[in-house]
Amino acid sequence: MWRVLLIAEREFKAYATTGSFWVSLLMGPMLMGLAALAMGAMRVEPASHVVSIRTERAEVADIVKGSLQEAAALSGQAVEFAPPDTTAGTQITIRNGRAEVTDGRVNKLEAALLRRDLYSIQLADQLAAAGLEPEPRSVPKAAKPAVTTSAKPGTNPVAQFAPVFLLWLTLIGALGMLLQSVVRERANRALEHLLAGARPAEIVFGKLLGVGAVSLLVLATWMIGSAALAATSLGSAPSMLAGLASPAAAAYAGAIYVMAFLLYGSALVCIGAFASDLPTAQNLSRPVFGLLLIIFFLAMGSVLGLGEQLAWLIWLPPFTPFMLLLSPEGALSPWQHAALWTLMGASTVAITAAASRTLIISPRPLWARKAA
Amino acid sequence: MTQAAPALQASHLAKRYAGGKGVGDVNLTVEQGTITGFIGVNGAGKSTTLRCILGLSEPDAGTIEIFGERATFRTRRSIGFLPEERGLAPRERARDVIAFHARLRGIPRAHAYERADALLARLGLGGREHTRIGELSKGNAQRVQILCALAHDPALLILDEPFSGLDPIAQAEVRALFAEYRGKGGSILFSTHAMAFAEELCDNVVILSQGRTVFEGPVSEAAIAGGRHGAYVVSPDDEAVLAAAHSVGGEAEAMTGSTMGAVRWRILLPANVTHPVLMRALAMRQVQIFEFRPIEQGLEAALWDHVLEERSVA
Repeated sequence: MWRVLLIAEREFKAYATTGSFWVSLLMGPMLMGLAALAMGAMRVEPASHVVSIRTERAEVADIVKGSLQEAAALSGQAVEFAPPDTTAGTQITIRNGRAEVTDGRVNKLEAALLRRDLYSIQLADQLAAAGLEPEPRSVPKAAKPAVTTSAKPGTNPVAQFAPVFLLWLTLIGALGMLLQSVVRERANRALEHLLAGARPAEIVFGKLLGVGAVSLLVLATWMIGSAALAATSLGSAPSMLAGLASPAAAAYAGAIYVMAFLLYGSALVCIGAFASDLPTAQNLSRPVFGLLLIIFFLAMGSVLGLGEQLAWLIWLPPFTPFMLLLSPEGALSPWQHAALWTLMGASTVAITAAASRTLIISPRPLWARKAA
Repeated sequence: MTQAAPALQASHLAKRYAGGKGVGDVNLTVEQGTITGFIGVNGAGKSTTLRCILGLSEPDAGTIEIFGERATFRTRRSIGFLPEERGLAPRERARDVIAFHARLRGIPRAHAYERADALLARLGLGGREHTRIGELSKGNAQRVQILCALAHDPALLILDEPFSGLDPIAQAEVRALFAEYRGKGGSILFSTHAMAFAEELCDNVVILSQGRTVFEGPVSEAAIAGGRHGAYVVSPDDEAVLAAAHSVGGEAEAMTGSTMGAVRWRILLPANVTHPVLMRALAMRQVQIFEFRPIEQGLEAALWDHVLEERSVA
């Protein structure tokens, strides 16, 4: 075990003792802060607004409420209705089939929908005056927003996708570091020197641990930076990571990250050990990074309404960590959780074993092994 | 009194890579407290053999024993290894990298750093402990790499081309270090193309040709076994050189590379033909000679002998 830790310490120091690492590490929260400031500056007024409707006809008031609710649903805002005698908020008076905003304002969408529905009331009134029976008009219901099914109902899709994005981004960076670490030592034969003193599996785990620690440090810095931003109430960036706010949620996300890193990391060690130089390793690793790109877009699709169609992907180990992060609380039974973690664990063990074998130059197949 | 088990014994070792390269039947023994040279032309299979011994590559057949025990990860821990290509990270500091290799073999941290400092001082690098590898000269980086192999005070050293890249002073220091190590009871197996070093340092020698052991024994026997000697001749007169060599019963072979239209020839002579006889034969044919360098009877001649014999058998 101490050899694993020793190799991990060496890997960690290889990155952490460079000035450029610390500069880039601090750049992350700084950029996040700048982004939050920019978003704060561009922030629109609070989405919810209070409206009181004054009209002599109760059915017209219902129709107007329906129009405003429909507009609110479409624009992702909320609307509250106050009694007609309220003076606070926006006041809309309906007179002779026309809406008059006496205080406050309505946005363009609300105005358009009000105009549409008031026109249909006028039309119905004219038909009735002409002795014709208009078709019964139902009160407009709050329309469903164009984008509906997110895996976690009631949460902002951006906030829901943010942990997946963070995992993806950190994973990509860490995998790049890991690949370079293995290929560099394979190419200059330093790996042979290392193999003379440590078991292949110890080298694999040492590298995974060392580079994993570096990437966790990056991730933690980003998270702490985010928390600091939340404390200063700079903007909406912290709310994007609201899903990781509680210690339990952060620990769960951390466990998912560790498993994802082990799964993909051992695959990259395998590729790095197999390749003789960096160009070969880059070519061989392209499918893995391509897969990660596909996963990124599918995860995004899952947040943007394809959740149900893509739910089965959770059972494919490369997708499991990402889909677990998107999975709503309580959506999976404890048995399903256990099965998924077992599946991920088994896949990781299998790939790590393969990576350890690949470190040996020209290993013989396991079935042909004979002690020399 | 029972004889001590050899430090290293490989028997009928075979390892074939895809494409047919590798070794077919390698036998070698390194007795305790001795230095054994491992020689052969490029591609003979030296590095493959060393990799199999160290467990970096899995042999297809054969047995390897270290101090009388089957080679395992545990028994291999008594080996200090210097790979052929030097792979130290440029950002690592000299004492850190030596201490790392010592700690990897179980030496406690404090002791590992003490030993690193002592070894650096021993090879004239005292005061450079905190210098990064990338800031050291090539020769000094090579010394650090050799010290990495010695860091855990191994009972057996396996070194792949330890003298390459070293200046004459560093070579002398390393030779002295090896002699000191043997004096303390350590055993060394090293591969080299420097025949002079092998003759000077080694007790025994193993000659490898085309993946097979073709000679194993004391250096003195190898030198005697190399009964043929000869000379390197650089000349533009190809036909005259060939005729002169044949006239004295020798064999001339053109070597790669030429200078100003002249070809470098290696002429091997029968044991009873001396260099002056060859020179006379060349002079009689008015051969223009740019360089004449005798190949003395010894390891180099022995190597040529074995290699040519193998080629003729093949």
